Amino acid sequence: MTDAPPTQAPPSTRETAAAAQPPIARPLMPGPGAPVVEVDHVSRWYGNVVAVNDISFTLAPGVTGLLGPNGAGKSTLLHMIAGLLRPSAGQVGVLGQAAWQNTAMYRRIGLVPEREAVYPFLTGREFVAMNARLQRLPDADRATAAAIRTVDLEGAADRPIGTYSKGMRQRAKIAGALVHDPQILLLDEPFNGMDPRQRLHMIALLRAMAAEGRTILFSSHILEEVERLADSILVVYAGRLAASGNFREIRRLMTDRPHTFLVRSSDDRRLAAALVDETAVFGVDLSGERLAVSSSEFGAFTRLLPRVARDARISLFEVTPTDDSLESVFAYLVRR
Amino acid sequence: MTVLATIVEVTLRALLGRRRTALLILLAALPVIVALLARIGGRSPGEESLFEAIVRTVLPLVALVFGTSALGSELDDGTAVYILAKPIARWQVVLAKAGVAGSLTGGLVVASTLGSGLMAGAPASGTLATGLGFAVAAAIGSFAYVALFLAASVITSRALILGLIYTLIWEGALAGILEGTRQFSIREATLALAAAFAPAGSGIDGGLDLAGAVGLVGVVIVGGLALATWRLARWEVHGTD
Amino acid sequence: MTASGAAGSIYDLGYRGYDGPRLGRRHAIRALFAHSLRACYGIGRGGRAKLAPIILGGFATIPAIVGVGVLALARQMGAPGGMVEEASPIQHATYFGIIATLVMLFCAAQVPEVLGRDQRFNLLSLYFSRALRRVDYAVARLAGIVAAVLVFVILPQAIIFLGLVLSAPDVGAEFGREAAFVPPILGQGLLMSVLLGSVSAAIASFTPRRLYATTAIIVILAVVPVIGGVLVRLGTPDLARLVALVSPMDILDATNAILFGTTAGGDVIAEAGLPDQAYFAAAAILIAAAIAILVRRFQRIAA
Repeated sequence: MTDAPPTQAPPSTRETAAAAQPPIARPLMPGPGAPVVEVDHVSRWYGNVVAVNDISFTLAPGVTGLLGPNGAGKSTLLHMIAGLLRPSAGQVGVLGQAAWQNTAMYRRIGLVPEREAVYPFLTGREFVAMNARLQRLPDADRATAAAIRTVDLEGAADRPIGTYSKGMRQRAKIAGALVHDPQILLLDEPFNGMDPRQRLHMIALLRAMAAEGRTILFSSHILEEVERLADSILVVYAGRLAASGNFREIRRLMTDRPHTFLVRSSDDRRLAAALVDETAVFGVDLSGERLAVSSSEFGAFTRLLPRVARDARISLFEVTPTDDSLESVFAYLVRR
Repeated sequence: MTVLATIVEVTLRALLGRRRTALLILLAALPVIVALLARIGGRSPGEESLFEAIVRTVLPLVALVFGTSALGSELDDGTAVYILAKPIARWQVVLAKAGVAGSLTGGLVVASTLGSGLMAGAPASGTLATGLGFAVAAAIGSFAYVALFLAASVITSRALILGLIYTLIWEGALAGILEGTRQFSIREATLALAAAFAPAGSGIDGGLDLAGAVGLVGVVIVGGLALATWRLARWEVHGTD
Repeated sequence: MTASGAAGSIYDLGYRGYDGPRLGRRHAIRALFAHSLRACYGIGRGGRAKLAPIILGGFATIPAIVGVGVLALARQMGAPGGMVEEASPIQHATYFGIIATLVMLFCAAQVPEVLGRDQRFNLLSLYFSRALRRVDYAVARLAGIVAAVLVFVILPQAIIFLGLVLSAPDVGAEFGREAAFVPPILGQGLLMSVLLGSVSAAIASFTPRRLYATTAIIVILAVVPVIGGVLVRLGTPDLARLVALVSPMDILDATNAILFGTTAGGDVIAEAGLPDQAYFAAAAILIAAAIAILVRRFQRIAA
């Protein structure tokens, strides 16, 4: 791979990024002493394609969510922190040392990669045990059993991983990453393929681990997961850091963005008239098949709509927020 | 050395549990079958030519498949992360994997040599001795080929075709035209070793003398493992978004 | 516009969409054909992808260049007409045989590249949801491969042709002599590229893993003739005949001899002693079968 110096990256994008971004964005929870992970003006390019573009942040104990659509550079960032990818520019520091070519660091780090491929012929237990032994744990079997119990995989632990569902495979990978009780946990799209119950279980587990003082970084493109789990978030888009910090603060900063809801009711017109009276609503549109209501306050609107409908004796059949996805959030962030 | 044992076990299971092993066994069995057919037909194909054919075709092909996939397939599909994101020195990984691949290759090739030797002319003790000589030489050659191909598989994902080019062109066609390339041919080294081990008069044409052969094999094994270790320490995941 | 609060910030990014014109099915086929051809030579991919084609192409072309150079030199130094040409190992009639191994390696190396990537990364559903139909995909890919192999085998011959003509004392007469070679060159070249291309493609279309595809192609193209050779030395003419009709490389060996009016180089063909038409028929059947398998494969593949 050619390692061109940073000046050869497209100048306009770099200037914009550098001008728009504060040097280091700190998450809400500052830990005691030095940051656990320090990413300093890191870029990564492959020939002409820039995967990560001048990103800086630090991680402290707690849970940080790395948000972004596919292709945003989340996996690249995670792998650079895990020391499996070399930054084209900038430094990645873990526990005070460079992450690249640092095998000793792996005692303290657990990595859950996104890629599906795992040795399909190993059983879950054998896979976790392999991880335990490669970590040179003194009592590998006990640690294996504990890890399997933690991720709730005991029932299937003795079947080959090739027969697992996606969610079970995820849990096996997580067990393998937990078995040596790491201080830092990096998870790449960990909830992929998990059903709601498993997801809740995993979220509870990760929160508990963070409360013990661990540093957890997980990537996702699903808003609800991040909302439930992360203390602070990093929003990545097209290789650049679009937002960072406390999740609610970012949400608040976006309140001048209107939310639009599509409503189907027993009497759209009367409902529209009743809604226009409310201050949280600043627009109604009856031109389409359904009633479109624009509101600047998501939470307030979801509470007032049923109340208004009930008072006016109108039945609500369908209420759909049209732009509550992360994509629309990004569309907003991007159009600014 | 639980770490080494663990890697060995996983690699062994990964390499053996697939269709390709069955196909490779078939390949290794071909010379035996041919020798058997010859016996049945009442003709003797000449043991040396059979053994030489094994060294020329079966040995490099088997070494190629095992050598490039022992580490290469994990590097390509991303499962290498589970071995590399661990506090293990890279040379240990390389040593374990090369050991497994080399042993498997050597085992298959030795079986093929001894099997076809038995088929071709068991009673003659000369054949047996020649066969044993070839078997030992082929076993050593296995490790040399595997070290080379393993190093190649760390450097590039196209190690298989490059290995094929090396075997068919460098060791095959060019050796016929440019005499000098024989000095750098594992095949020639293996044949020279076989000539040294086998009883005199086995008529194997080796462009290398024994010292040259041993030297080449040693350099390839040590150099290959060292190169693989050095490149593995610099290996990066690919295919991330 | 950057917005910052006490505990978080939003940074400014710029992103634009694309609304361009879209072309139709024929363009798609042409584009896929061009893409396959380029992929065979690693054009448009990184340096590593060019390694195998350049090495193999180099080995295939350099002897031709060198041979022509030596010939031109000899002619300049006034060697008696005809003597050097006949003594030189670089001849139209034998060159296809010389590079046979290289062509085989080229197919084994590049055809899995062209066909395997789409399956490996689940891109087929993307292709089939466009104007392209499944048959189009198979045919376009095959056409690209055949064209690539054609270039591979014809280029050295063209170099020899040009070299002989341009270095001759009497260009017109030399051109007339050389022109007689053009039909066999084109014929054998086409036959080689279509036969090897379609057989390799049919094999490679079944697996996304390069290892399996390459090894399978090598076995069919390289190991089968070796078995044939061994069987010949065992003195079983019937088995030799079978191999002669089934092994692509042996068939090409025979057709080369027929088209150029020489004798076949391999033992298998010499032993088999079959009539000329048999080889062409066998080639035609193999080609038809391979294409049928290839098309069927892509019509049934799950995407």
